[in-house]
Amino acid sequence: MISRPAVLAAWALVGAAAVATQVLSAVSRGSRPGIGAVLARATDRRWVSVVLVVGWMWFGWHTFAR
Amino acid sequence: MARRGLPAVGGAGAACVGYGAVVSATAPFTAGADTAVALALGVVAVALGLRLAAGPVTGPVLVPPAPAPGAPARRAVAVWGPVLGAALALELFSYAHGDRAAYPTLSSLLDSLDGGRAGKTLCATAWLALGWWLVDR
Repeated sequence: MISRPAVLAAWALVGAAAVATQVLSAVSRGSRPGIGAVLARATDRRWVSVVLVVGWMWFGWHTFAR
Repeated sequence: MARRGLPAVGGAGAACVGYGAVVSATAPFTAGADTAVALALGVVAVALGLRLAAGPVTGPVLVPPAPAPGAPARRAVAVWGPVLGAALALELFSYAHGDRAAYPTLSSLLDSLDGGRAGKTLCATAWLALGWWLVDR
């Protein structure tokens, strides 16, 4: 059985990897896309925009209302 | 993203912080929280509808944008795929175990972050700012 500290450490590792990837993207001068560029490109398609907004709605409702 | 002047961005940011504070003042499972969140959802839904009705800013929808050099979609998957894949795998792993205390999911981690008023205001502000960004493109 995996302990809570191990799961928290795994989450911290994932978070650190995300931050490191974004920082590397920022200093790469466009050769590595940042998360903003990825989302911006993805939302060029209407259906992606709709899916992301629906996901945003679900997240807000789940987190702050119910 | 639509280009906005500093006053517009500052105004939107202030609105997100202000309304984030309003949302953070409510308690989940109450009419106040339902109303505050539903109002934000409604505003963003209307903004998205108006944006979609107005059509794309550049080029028709059915014509995909010309690919930039370097296969950016493949690069995006290569750069972000492992990180997002690891987050998804960890979320599913924790969710499948059910015991939130031993196996916290992302939302249970957020619950501990937004337990206090300041943390909840920060989370609500970030959520509102993301919603604004999604429809202001």
